Amino acid sequence: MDAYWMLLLAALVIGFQSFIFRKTAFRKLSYSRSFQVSSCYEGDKIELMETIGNRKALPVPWLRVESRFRTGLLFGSQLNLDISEGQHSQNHKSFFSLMPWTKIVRRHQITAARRGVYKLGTVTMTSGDLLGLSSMVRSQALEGELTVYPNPIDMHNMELPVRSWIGDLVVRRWIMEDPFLQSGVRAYRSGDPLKDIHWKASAKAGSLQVHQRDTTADGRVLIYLNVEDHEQMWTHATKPEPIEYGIRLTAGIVVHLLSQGMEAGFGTNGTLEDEPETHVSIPVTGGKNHQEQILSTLARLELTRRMSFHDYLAAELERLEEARDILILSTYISPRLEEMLSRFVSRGHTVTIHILDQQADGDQEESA
Amino acid sequence: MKINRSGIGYPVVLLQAVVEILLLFPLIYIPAYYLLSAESLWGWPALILAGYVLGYSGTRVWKLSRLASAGLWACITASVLAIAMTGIGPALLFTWPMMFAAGYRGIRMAHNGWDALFPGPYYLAGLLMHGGSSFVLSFQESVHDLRTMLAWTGALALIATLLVLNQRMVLEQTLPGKGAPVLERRVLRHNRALIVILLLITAAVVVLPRLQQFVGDMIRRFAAWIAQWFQSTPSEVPPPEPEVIPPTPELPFGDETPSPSPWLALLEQIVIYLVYALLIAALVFALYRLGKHLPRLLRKLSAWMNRRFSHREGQEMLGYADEIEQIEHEPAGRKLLQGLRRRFAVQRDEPAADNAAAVRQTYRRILSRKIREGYHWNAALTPRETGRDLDHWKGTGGEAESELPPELIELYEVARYGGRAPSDEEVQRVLKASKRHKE
Repeated sequence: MDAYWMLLLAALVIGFQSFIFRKTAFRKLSYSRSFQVSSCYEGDKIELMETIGNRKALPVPWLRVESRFRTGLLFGSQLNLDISEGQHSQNHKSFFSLMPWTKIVRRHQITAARRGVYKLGTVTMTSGDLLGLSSMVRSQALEGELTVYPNPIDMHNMELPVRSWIGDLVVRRWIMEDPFLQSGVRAYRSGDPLKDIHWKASAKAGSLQVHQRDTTADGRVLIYLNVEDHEQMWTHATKPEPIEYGIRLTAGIVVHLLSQGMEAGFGTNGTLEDEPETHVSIPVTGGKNHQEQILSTLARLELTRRMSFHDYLAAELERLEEARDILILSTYISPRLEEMLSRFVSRGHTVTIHILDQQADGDQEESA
Repeated sequence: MKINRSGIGYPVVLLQAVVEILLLFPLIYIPAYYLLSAESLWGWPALILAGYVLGYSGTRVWKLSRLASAGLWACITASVLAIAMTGIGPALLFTWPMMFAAGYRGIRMAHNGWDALFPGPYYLAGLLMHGGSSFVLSFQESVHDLRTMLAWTGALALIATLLVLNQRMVLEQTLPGKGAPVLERRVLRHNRALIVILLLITAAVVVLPRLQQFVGDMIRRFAAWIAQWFQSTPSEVPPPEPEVIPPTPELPFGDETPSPSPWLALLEQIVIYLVYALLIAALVFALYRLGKHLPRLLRKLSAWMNRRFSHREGQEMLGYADEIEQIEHEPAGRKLLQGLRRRFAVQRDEPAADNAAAVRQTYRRILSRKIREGYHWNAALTPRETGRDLDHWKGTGGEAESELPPELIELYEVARYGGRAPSDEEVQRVLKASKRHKE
């Protein structure tokens, strides 16, 4: 047989295989993807599993699966993948070749480097024939997400008095006084109840003396986080580091308190991912589920303010019915805020302010 | 000339040179076929290869990165080899440029990668050259050996083209971006295996006419041999033997060889057809067995190769781990047989155990027949509603024309939902009424 005839037949066979693979590329081809866990903490190593199955007698010579992830998930070294990182998202590609009646389960090792909610979104699959004469593209929407909680700061190394918010331990003066624990006398001050007057000590001193009561924790703390990095902030925080520190600090405090059987609540003037209009205010309560709720909120928190912190506190002041121990985490304190906080105090709340600084050690503390 | 790749090695250079010679074989060989002597023609491709090697060797020694130096070295090697081949003569006008091109390409192989030296259209041009020259030469009977040579080199060029283009396409599809494409070996292995299968299919299609001719010749010879047993005089003697026929007038069959009798001719035809049928059946059976076992063999081969070539450290470098498993499935042959059975099966009911079962069987049989005819049965309907729906579907009306006889429906309700068993007379009446629907 002559070469031209052979090459002509070869061209027909090649054209036929292109036709066949174009028609059957995605037939009986299943693809799914899922995270090993639904939630984890920053820095945790988890797995992303891809399952692809070819349930037919024809092979799939090549299949490329592309998807987009938010930056914050670090993939391991993968030579046959191209992860192009941008500021907000990264392109992830997987490449497969499937023989007939074959299923591949691929486990990617990833590190959750940054808090947030990572959704699986939509994947785009591309396949074709052996010589690239034809290719087919198909998109598939996937369900599933991974919530990466902020890494809680270890409270044992903190200077905050929060570490003594346990049981009946004596704590610093900014917590509500315990009427059952007396530690001495002091001079009468305007506003002290008459029932606290120590008559004997007053007679000895020649002036009114009142019982001095030490303070113990009542174990119910409400944390307010201010996402404004300065008072004149417009919408987005330009210096996110202190606020991210505040988020981790909040997570540490909440985990610490709730693990001790105490109760905590959380509120912020920031917005949540996918819920920009939601007023974030989680009531004070306890339990494992409550901890996950607060951590999940912190994971979804965006450094975009929904309203000024002053207005937020004003709304919260009207909403609160019982006196609370309130911890304010903010990068600044202004006279306007101080005035608002004094209104909290006048309503019976106890307020502590913790200034968020870029360096975690240089924190400042004020109490009202 | 950008990168000095003089360290790529002689094996790679030889491989690249062989591929280029294959692709450009018509251009290299056809003029030489007419210009060179038969003795020197056999050494011509080898000399071309030597030109590549000499060119590459020169750049390894002297790093010929400039055009002038590379051109000078190519001229020197071309002059030496061409004159050695053909001497000073008209043929030198052909051999010298060829040797110069070979030497220059050898030099460039040290500086350019395979992709730059052999872009995709290059392969297609080579194949077109094979096809075109083969087509032109097909009108000349005197160059049969040249056409055969072109067929073989064309086949090899096709193999090289498909393998290279497939690998290149797969690497491009990984969308490597700025970095070098890296592909898992398993993917390349699979694609190469599929290319090989594609080539085998192409070979089968190409060889099929010859195979048919060969098989036909074998069958005809076998039939003739069998026919000899039924004839006094063989009607066909292949090969003819130089036998001396004695001039004896007392030949038992007369002066002329008599033609075989009709029944012998018929028998010969029958035997030929039988042999054809047996051979075809044997071929089909062999293909069936091959098709049945080939997927399992391929899977075993693939699994063995995966075990052999997939190293743990390789997977760790890739950053993921794959678990490959086979999906359980019904063999295609069994599925096809079951489908055929369902398609052509005649439903035979088991004999009814009692009158109630007989009534229910009759109702079910009629309804099944209507469903096969296209009626969309609604399971939520009662038997009476089903009967009315059937009549509406068929456009019939009145008891005489009902698709489901009312007495059948009534008795079915008794048998199915009622507390009493139908009597024999009732069953017989219903069976008679339903017989009308069998026709």
